[in-house]
Amino acid sequence: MVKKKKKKKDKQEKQENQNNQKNQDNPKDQQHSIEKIIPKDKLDTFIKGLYKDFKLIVPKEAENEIEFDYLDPENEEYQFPEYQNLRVSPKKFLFPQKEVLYSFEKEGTGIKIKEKEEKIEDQVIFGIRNCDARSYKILDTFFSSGKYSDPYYFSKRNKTLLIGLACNEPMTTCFCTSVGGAPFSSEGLDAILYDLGDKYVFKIISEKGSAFSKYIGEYPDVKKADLKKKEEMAKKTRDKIKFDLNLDNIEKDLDGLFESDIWSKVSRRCLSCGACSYICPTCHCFDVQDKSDKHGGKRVRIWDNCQASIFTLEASGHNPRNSGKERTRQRIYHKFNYYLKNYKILGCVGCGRCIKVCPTNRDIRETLKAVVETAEKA
Amino acid sequence: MNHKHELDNPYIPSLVTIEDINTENEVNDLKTFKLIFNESADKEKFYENFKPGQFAEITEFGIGESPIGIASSPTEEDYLLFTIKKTGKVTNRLHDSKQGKTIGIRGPFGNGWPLKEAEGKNLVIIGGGFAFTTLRSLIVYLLHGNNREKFGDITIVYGCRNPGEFCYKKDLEEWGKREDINLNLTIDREHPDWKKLVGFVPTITKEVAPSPKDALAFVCGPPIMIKYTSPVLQELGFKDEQIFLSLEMRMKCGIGKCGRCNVGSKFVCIDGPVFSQAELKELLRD
Ligand SMILES: Cc1cc2nc3c(=O)[nH]c(=O)nc-3n(C[C@H](O)[C@H](O)[C@H](O)COP(=O)(O)OP(=O)(O)OC[C@H]3O[C@@H](n4cnc5c(N)ncnc54)[C@H](O)[C@@H]3O)c2cc1C
Ligand code: SF4
Ligand code: SF4
Ligand code: FES
Repeated sequence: MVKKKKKKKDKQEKQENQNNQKNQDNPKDQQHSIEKIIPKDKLDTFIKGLYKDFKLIVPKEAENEIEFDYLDPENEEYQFPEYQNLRVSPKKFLFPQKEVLYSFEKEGTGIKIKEKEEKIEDQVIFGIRNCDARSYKILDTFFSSGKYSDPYYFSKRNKTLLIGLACNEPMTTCFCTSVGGAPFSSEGLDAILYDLGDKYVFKIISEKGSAFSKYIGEYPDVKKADLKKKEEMAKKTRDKIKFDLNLDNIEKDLDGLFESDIWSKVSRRCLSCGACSYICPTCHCFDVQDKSDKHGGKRVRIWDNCQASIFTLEASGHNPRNSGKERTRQRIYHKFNYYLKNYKILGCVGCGRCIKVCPTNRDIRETLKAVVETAEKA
Repeated sequence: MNHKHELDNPYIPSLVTIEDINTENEVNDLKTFKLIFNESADKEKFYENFKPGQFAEITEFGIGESPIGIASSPTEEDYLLFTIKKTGKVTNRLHDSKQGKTIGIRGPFGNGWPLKEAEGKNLVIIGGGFAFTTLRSLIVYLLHGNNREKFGDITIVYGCRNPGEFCYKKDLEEWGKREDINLNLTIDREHPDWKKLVGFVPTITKEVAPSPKDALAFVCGPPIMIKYTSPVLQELGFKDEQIFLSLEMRMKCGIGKCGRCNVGSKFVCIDGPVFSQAELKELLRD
């Protein structure tokens, strides 16, 4: 029943979402707002407090990069490593790259199905950026849409809270502000940290996030001066994002461009490798595969992507998306047209990961610019 | 949200047993499988939402899953029928199966033929090759009990390459005897054993279709047949809103989540597989 309530709220949010896309905070959540100062040397204490009740997923130094991973605070002192955003989003913690759906045993000519038993503990994804938090809002909308809700996603999602870290240094590939986000936005988060240089401001954002109030009672309240500094920083960082494209009409623009020749142009260098989709925090397509031996087996789902030709290849040999042109078009339409048609939200959060990962330097911002410009001319 | 599905996991198949296997055609690549639910609760749940024109996902455990149109009618309450062409991994394994084997089923999925809209109307039902499956479900339903009187004239056009390719020969014989339907069976080219119609489906449709006034057309067949039948219907005066087509796309989940079966903004698995020509014209189609 809890889920039902959530659905209803999601629906409201869905409708408000598009208008809100340009806002910084969700006004509905303001009533929960508690703002405290966490001194920098107290972050670890704060985290150890959280750890009593939540598993923690945090940005951590790995071999060659910083990755989201589980923290073991009993044996680790935690400070944020230096990062702008991580190469890989935390999508996999709620939607793993490979996930068992069920297993089965063979019994003579019969079969016995064993549903997956998963013990999921409450967890917090800590230090997530606004774009990635918004990507979960998109996945929430998609996985709950229509008649069927996805039980594997929500079993984890319903146990997960998000504590964000506002961005002070966006990357050159970031364009969240063109798709409704902002470096200091708290949309989609349960609580957020702002790094003011010498201290953090911690703010509770959502109703679920009020669970955190018990860990911050001892910390000092924010002062006016801190809030002022925060506002200044919000503006300053926002201004660092140079790419600025008005996508208010993107759905209509695309409606008229399905048969346009821009799709052959923008897909010319595409290798159909699918890296852009695998790395995308909002892409959610999957393949389903069975594995078995003589005693039984299992069914797994595995990330898949629309850039591969086999994605839509039918047994007869017929393939409605036979070339890179149709597949690039599908990716752009799915995120910037079908999503708006079906759920009134955009399917891209402007994280720029697909730009960084493309082996032939294709840039989704250039594609969007070409769409807007072509539509203006038409 | 539907309460039922909040509790159920739509990815878990129900178990069914193959009760009978019937070879449909001479070249032996089409078989009809008669399936019985192992658990009556699963059966009840399946029949709660079952309409002609829907499909189900059939699992060969350890091999995979395939979407297959349901060939039996909801009025055939004791068993489900699926007519399956031997094509690849899953369908090959099914063809190698024997009676008594346990397989899995999820469904019913999709919207089905628009029966409510069809009430009181004359219907022309057009099918080609083995894609006739869900049209069999529809026809059995229309002819069942008191259902027949809810609909106007019923005209059927069913075409195959040669006489050996027709499925459901017993049903066809029975339907051929009935006065309250107009059954037209046709093959592409003359054949020594064939005494019925000769000619492609679109050509025959042109000759036998009812007036478009208060009529609907239901079409299911290979892409080439659809391509040439639609214009014929239009020529006869059928509007886009009166023509319904059943589409096929590569599928995995059947429940709008794996993301591969979209035509424009719609998913064939949940918004289809049946669309009116008018709806299709609105969609951005690859
Ligand atoms: C709504 C619908 C109704 C259908 N009804 C029937 C029917 O009544 N009888 C029948 O014989 N066939 C039907 N098909 C086609 C049937 O699904 C494919 O022939 C079958 O999936 C091939 O599976 P395979 O494992 O043998 O082939 P492989 O080539 O090994 O395919 C591997 C997997 O890809 C997917 N796939 C491949 N081709 C298709 C396809 N054309 N459509 C959907 N998924 C595909 C399936 O998940 C399949 O298991 C229908 C398809 C759809 C979408
Ligand atoms: S499409 Fe590119 S920029 Fe948009 S969310 Fe996906 S990876 Fe990020
Ligand atoms: S269809 Fe393509 S762009 Fe859309 S979610 Fe799937 S992989 Fe991503
Ligand atoms: S089959 Fe998975 S979305 Fe349609």
